[in-house]
Amino acid sequence: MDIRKIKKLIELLERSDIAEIEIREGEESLRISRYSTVTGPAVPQVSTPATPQAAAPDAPEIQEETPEKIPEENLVRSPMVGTFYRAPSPGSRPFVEEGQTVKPGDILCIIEAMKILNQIESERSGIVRQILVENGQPVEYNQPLFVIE
Amino acid sequence: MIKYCKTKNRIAPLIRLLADGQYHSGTVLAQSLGMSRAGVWKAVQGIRSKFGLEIHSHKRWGYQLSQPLELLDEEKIHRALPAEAKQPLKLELFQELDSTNAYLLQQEKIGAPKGSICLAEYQRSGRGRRGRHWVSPFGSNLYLSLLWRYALAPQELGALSLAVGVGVAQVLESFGVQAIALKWPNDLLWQGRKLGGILIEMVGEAQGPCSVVVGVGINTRLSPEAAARIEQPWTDLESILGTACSRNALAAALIGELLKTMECYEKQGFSAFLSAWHRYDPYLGAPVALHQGIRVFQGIYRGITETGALRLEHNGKIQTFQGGEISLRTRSP
Repeated sequence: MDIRKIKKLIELLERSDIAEIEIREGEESLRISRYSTVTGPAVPQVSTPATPQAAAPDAPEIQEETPEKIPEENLVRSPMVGTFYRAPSPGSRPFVEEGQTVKPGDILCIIEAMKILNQIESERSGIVRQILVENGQPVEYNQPLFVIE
Repeated sequence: MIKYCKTKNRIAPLIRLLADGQYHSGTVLAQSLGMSRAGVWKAVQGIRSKFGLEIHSHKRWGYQLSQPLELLDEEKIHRALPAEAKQPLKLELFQELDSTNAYLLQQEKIGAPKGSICLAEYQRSGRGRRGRHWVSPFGSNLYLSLLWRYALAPQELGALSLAVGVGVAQVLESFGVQAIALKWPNDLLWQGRKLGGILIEMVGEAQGPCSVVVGVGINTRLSPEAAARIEQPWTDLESILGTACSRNALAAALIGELLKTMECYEKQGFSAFLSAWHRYDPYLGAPVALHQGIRVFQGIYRGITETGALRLEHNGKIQTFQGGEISLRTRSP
């Protein structure tokens, strides 16, 4: 399923009063739900089965969506549930931008939960290849935030 | 010991001399400070412009602070500390800092011990949540920060924010503030107006250990000029109590309580604070709006979970939240 399609669906859900949408397309199914009943930030939850059931021998090519495997050591993950902030305050410059070089101890972002501001520091030197979360978005425990190579 | 930012700075000793709120003649001030009368005049100008303190000047009587100040005093704080907090205590008092939290975060990096505490008479850029400014006039409120090191992981420290709120509320209550309220996660309110704030900043590893800097700001006495810069309903201890409150005694009580809170949270977690939290929570069943970034959830406040998360009844279902800010909505009549 096309990532743009999923994004459209999320936007559609956010604009509507619908709590949940479930869509099936051939082997794939997608359920987007607005509210989670478990502890955590209210973020639309996207769940897709990891692999199409009983990998049909002549299943159509759906490889394009699987992101290239990022080595674990290049990922910076969130140590807690909270809100992701790229800058110390609204309107100020982000701590880091994609393409920027960082060294150990540099602040990458802030995760806030219940008014505790957690400064996330880089543990290694490298270049920030990707910022995976948008400013102000809720993040889950262990969610990847940055790719640093 | 008060640290001066520059050794040649005459402003600090001059403020000490004027703190009693009496008139002091320019000649006597000049003699005691070893400077010229013109120098005293210049220093007075400096105090006015830098710290916003109001100083009356009179041709014959000299200079007088419009209000007496009880300056921070290490000895007084030590004397007023509860016995269990007296032991080795790394306490630093500053005339001015950018922010007490920022200072301790720096000290953390160079190995400052668990339990380090600092206070400042004045913060050049006092901080609130998310870059908001914390109005910090000289010598009339309390700005205090404490550093703690935990073996715990950040994920386990979420409710520390509420635990610290409970500790500070208890101290304010012991100073005679009736009906102090905590609004999730830790806004200190009196009759719906802000009396103080808590800002907790954390650095550390995902699996622990991590360090926490707890900053507490209490409005003890706010001048109308300083208050004009606050963007929400506010109050101060002096207006609530109808009498001046000793800043040194309050600092000592806060230090004692915070040390206890940090230790207790380490051993028992938030469960030790849950019932006390409920005691300071008058908002059960109140209509509230939860703001999370650009999202707003309208609902009914249904208290907190045992891990300190907010329970919000929204569209007939109770959901829990760990992030965001709530504002109280006035009930429709």
